[in-house]
Amino acid sequence: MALVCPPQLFYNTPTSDPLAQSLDFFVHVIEPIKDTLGVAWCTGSGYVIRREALSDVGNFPLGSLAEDVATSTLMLGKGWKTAYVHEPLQFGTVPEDYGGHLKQRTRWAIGTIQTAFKLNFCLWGSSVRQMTMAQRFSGALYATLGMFTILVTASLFAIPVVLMWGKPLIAFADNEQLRWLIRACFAATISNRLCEFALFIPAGYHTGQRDSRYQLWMSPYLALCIVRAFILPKWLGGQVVAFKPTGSLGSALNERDPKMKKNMLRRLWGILFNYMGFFHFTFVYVTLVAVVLTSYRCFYQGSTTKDIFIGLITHAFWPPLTFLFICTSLWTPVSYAIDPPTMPDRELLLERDQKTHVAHPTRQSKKVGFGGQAAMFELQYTAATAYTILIFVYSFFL
Amino acid sequence: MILAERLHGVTYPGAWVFIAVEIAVAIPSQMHNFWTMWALKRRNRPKLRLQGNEVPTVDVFVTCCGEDDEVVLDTVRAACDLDYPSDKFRVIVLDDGKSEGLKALIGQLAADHSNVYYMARQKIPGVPHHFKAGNLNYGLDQVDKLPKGASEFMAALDADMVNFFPLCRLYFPNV
Repeated sequence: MALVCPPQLFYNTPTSDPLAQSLDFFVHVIEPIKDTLGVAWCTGSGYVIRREALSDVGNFPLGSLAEDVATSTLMLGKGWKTAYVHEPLQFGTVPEDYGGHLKQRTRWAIGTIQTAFKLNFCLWGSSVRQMTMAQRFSGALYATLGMFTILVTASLFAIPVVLMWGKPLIAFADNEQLRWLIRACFAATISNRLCEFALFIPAGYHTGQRDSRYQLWMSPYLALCIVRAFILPKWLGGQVVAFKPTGSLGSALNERDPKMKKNMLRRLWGILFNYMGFFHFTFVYVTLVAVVLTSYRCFYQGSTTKDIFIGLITHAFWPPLTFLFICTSLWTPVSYAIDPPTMPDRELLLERDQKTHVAHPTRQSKKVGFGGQAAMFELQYTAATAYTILIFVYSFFL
Repeated sequence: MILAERLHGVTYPGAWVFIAVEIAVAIPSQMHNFWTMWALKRRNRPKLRLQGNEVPTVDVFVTCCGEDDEVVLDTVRAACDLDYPSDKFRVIVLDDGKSEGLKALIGQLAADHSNVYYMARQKIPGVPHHFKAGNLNYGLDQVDKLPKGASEFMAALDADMVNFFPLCRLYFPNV
């Protein structure tokens, strides 16, 4: 055994955690799975390493943005074992502003892929010689999933483009086929919800949902940095760096500080222009316009109520209303700029021993509060599911 | 869809794009699901604790680079406060931000805890310093030079991580 690592937990995650900064899904679901497969990672803090094993891999590898994961992967490649201790042993802080969060997450994404390229996606080569099948597959999978954010970003455009074009999202020859398409869609939606539920429970249901939305709104940032780091040549601006704001931000937005925070216009300007939230803003507007246009066409072209109804459900309103989910997820940066969460002073999150001055997080500060935002998203999701069920029922009368 | 195209004698490029995208997006997530199910066996990590004073030696590195002095100090204080024999572990602050204030604060703390050290490496402009990895490697080199030499184990804490349990007592039975 070369290395043991505990989870990364936080004591300053704001209520509803709008930016999905807590790592609860990773530490309560993914890490235990990885540990079962013998691929516990070194996640950068709180770990204990055997010096002998560290010397064996030549100490910490240089030239990587994620030296921690690289270290543990190299150890696995030399035949050492790593373990994950799933106990609440350390509490840290999440980045306190939007820019810090983008920088942190893009750095992790680039670092993971960088390591993968160096180690041939953990598939072959001398540095992974002693790895088991499961370890190799996990290494390859994580790097692939990282690259995959480029595809996710491209896929975001599918729905607005098809709708703008005025085309239906599905194709069918007769009503019988439409009926079965609706039923298949219903079955997929319901089984997806059950799967999600089972998978999310160890980390908390809302944490899982937050992460699903995060995957969407974060993907343009990740894709941009990955393209810049690994695909663009240097003379086209290719560069291995985490996300940096464009232009001059002036001073920090301090958006979570009740006293120091900049006014709303200043925050919106910063996030829309310096942090490229303009992409998200435009995307949501274009998609909504596409929905309105295509629905207008349905009303215009349909002669009977049934025609109009079938037009609507085969275009924008195909269950489970994916456009709605994409739009509300991509709106995250904008709503965050308008209404950022407020965090109290760090000292109020800690309990300090008067004599020794040693401080530990309070019981309350270790939890992510449930707030109005999480409730709104759940309401939307429930409504979309109810709509899917209604359409399913309707399929029997079609 | 093919039937529909035949029936109407037209092609539906949009629908094909949609299907292609759906499949492309589904492949990695299906791979992830498959990987998840691979781990469907029981995970077996007993919760163990190491007792007594006959314990291995460990160097705890606290890496920092420009964080607030108070934040780093809280981490160091908590690390010093561990329930672990003080002659068996050292807390080493590796400050890449070269904060004079932090140096002074750690100096005060070292008056009470003889096992606390402050170190800041020389960063030469133009020479790559490799961020955190460089900082940690510098720490590894430096502890080798300390009177007692390197410890058997090394541990690392981020500047803002407050730990409240002697991590080492849990780990070593595992290690």
